[in-house]
Amino acid sequence: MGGSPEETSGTATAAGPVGGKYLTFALGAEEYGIDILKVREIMQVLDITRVPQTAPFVKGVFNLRGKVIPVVDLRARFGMPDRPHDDQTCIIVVDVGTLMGVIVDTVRQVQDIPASAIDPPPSVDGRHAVGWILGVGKAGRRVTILLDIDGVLNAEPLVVE
Amino acid sequence: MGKRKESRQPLDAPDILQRLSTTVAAADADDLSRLAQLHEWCEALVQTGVTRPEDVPEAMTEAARGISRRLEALILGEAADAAEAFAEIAASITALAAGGCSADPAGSAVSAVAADAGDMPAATGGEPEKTAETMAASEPPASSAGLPSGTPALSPADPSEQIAAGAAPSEPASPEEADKAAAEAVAGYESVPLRLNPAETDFVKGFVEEAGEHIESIESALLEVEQNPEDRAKIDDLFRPFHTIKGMAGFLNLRDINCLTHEAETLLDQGRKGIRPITAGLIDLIFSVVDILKVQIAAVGEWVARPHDGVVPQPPVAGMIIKLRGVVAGRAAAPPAPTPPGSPGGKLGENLLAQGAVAPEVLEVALEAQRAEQPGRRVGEILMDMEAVTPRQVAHALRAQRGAEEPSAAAAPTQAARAAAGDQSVRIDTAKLDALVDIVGELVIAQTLVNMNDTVTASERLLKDVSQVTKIVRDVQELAMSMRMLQIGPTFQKMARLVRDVSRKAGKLVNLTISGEDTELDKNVIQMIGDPLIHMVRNAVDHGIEAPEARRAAGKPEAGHVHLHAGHQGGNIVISITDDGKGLDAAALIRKGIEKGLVKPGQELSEQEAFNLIFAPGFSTAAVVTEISGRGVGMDVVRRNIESLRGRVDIASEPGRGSTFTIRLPLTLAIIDGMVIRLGSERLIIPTIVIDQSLRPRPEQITVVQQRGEVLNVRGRLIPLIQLGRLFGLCGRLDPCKAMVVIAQCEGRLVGLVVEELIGQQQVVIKTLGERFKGIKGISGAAILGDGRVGLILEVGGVEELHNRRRGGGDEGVRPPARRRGSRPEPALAC
Repeated sequence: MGGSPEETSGTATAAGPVGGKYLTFALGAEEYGIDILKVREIMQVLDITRVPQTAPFVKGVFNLRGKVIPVVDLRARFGMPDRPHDDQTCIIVVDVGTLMGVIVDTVRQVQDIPASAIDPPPSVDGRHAVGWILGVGKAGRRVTILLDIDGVLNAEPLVVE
Repeated sequence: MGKRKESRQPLDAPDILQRLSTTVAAADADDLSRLAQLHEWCEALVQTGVTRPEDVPEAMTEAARGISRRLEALILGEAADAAEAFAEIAASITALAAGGCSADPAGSAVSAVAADAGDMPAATGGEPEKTAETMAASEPPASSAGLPSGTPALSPADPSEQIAAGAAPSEPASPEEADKAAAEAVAGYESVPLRLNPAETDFVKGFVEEAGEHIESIESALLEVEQNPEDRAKIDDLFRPFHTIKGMAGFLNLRDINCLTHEAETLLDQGRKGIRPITAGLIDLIFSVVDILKVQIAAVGEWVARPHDGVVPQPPVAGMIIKLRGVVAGRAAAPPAPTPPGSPGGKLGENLLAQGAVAPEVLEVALEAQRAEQPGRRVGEILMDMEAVTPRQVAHALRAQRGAEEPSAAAAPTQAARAAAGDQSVRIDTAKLDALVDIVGELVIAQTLVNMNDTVTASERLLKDVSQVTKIVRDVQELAMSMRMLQIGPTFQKMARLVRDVSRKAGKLVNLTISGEDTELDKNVIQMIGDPLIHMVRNAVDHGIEAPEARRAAGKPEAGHVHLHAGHQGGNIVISITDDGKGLDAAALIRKGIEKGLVKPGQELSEQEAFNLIFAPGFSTAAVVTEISGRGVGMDVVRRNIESLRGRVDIASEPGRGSTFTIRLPLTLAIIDGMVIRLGSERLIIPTIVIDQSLRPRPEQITVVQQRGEVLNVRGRLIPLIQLGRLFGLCGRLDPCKAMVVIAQCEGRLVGLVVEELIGQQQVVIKTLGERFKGIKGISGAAILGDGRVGLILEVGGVEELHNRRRGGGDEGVRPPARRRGSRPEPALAC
């Protein structure tokens, strides 16, 4: 399942910024969006079981109605400082070939972002790999970073020595 | 089993004729499925004619046979002009149906076609020998283009000739005549390059799967026929799968397989009709046909795995087809084998006397022995032990004993019942069954949660209702589990074939007995247990059982005995392989172990530990590496396979008396019994089957050994301790004397796992962690615990490996170096 790097970056550029519905969420002060078609469900943070020998951003696994699903902490994935979970903290379950959960600070809304309101990804970015950003959506004064969630979750192996 | 297509219940002839005429009206030259149906009805008619000659006039049977053959040729695309051929077939069928019992119109139609097609002689003759010749000669046109007729088909050494020679005295016709007929009738066979259409991959795949099952039933039926050569019902069992494979191969244009099965079928048909005695040579010949078929089907299977447009490579088959044709043609006119002298129902000994196989004095001794020492044994066995008679003679005498009894009559009802049951099964994708078992597992856990809910326990009424639901849920679970279960019988049957082959090759006499063949195992377990079982049975025959002379010298019966047993024991499935061979010699094993560097000189080993040495890689005690086994690659693989099924192997052995290998397996792969333990805030599951014991050590039991870390002394055994929490980064180092130690075994070694707390035993449904977590050491999967949290399931071998690696060195050499994950080049994405 783990998409090879060529594949993931290929989709990101080939697909380009596409207008449509995005689920937006916050991570610190920044707002991100994920293509709504990738989202399976949004849930409270449940008990997560730690799994040994995994990358630091892998929080472990949890039980989604009988399925064991890996969970990635998006803050840790992007190298942002850790933050204690509160009642706003959510797991977004996305389908990136397999089902995976991502932990975000808070889920905002489902937003329609037309292609015209999407700028191409910036060529230089301090934190994120350029390949992971599909584009930057602008609605009013708000800026939403549209994530290629497949790239974010599949580019690196979850298991480390 | 995939026998649904076959109409096994003999239908009435008028019924069949009715169906034939309706189907033929709708059919057309390239409507393969209807042609196939017509073919099936014709065969059914022939079948009815054979089984109930009083209902179907012989002429009609023969006419149907002829039509069936022409249909076959048409389906295989061998008819010169398909439309014309079909028109003629249609005319014959209509005539056959209209004429009712009079076969005249059909007969003339057949003759007309035969004259037309040139190589399709009239099949209306009625006499069996004519039919047989027809079969040989009516082969596809390719044959005439192949080897010139009259090619010497029989090489002097082949079994077919032995068959012919063996039966020669009973043949009234002069041998030269028969030979001449054979040479004339036997046409050559040349394979044509096989091309399959990738669009039909699914059909072909279905064929490969079904054919595999049919081959299995052929093998087990063959062994039964070998035991009871006179049992017509058994020969029918043998005939049917051949016929089905032939039919399927025909539709898929697998000409080699089709022709090969056709010839084998013809031969068996002769046996079934009593034209040909079922001899050991014949059985051997059919066994070699099965072997060729297997290779052929495997070749097609390879194509299924990677379909392509090109020519599918096919293993050679022409030799066998020509050989079969030779046998069929050469012996077609032979009368039924004479019944051996002896009175039906008479005593075996008397019959043997009548045959002149045994002297009266010898028989007297044997009977005396039976009375005195072995009341349960049969005279035949004792005589064979005494080498007074050959098994063949006993078989003859037994045959005479059964005499005129009609064995098929007794077998018929069960036959019909089995056939009816077979038609009522459904093929289901195992993925669906797995999903069902998974979901039902969840249901059981959810149900447990409801049961423990305070609201429920507070209300008596609710409690009653809920417990009713609980009962139903449990039934559903049982049912879901049972759907994946298969009997181990067919797997054991395969071993029968193996024992037969291996013992012959090794020049040993071995009797295989089987018990508990109706024990049901999970389908996955059955699939994975096959190879280890083959290894172990082969070892039992090749290494365990001694050569006949050695056995005689040791005062044992010449024929060795291997017993396969399956059964339930304490929630596990137990499969045991027992032989009465020479047993394992612990001292020799230890010597060998020292030689191989597996044991340090002077090291004390218990008998069990010495036995376990045979599972070490590269270990073989056989003095001579035989063709069959003894290269020391078997047993380590056996143990690894069984442990991967979460099972274990134990050995019991007594020098000179034999050995028993016992495999213990979980009932199903979907659920395990586990010990839930706590480490920090996490809970893990240790499969109960690997747990030796759990204890809280006293301080004096713990020693710190240079290079090996902490070691626990349990009654003199030194067991390395593994700080599981620290190894997995779940908690810090634990003081074993304040925590608990779970002693688990892995490949015969013991390790002590230090855990914070034992929570309790529980059955859990195993879930995979998925592709993304592949390569994690020491974790085999996950399970949902009673409170809905995920618990990881421990894999002790991996834990030990990880532990040794972290220690850097130690006794790393014990295990092969860890497999590396395929390292993927990491993209430099993150800045």
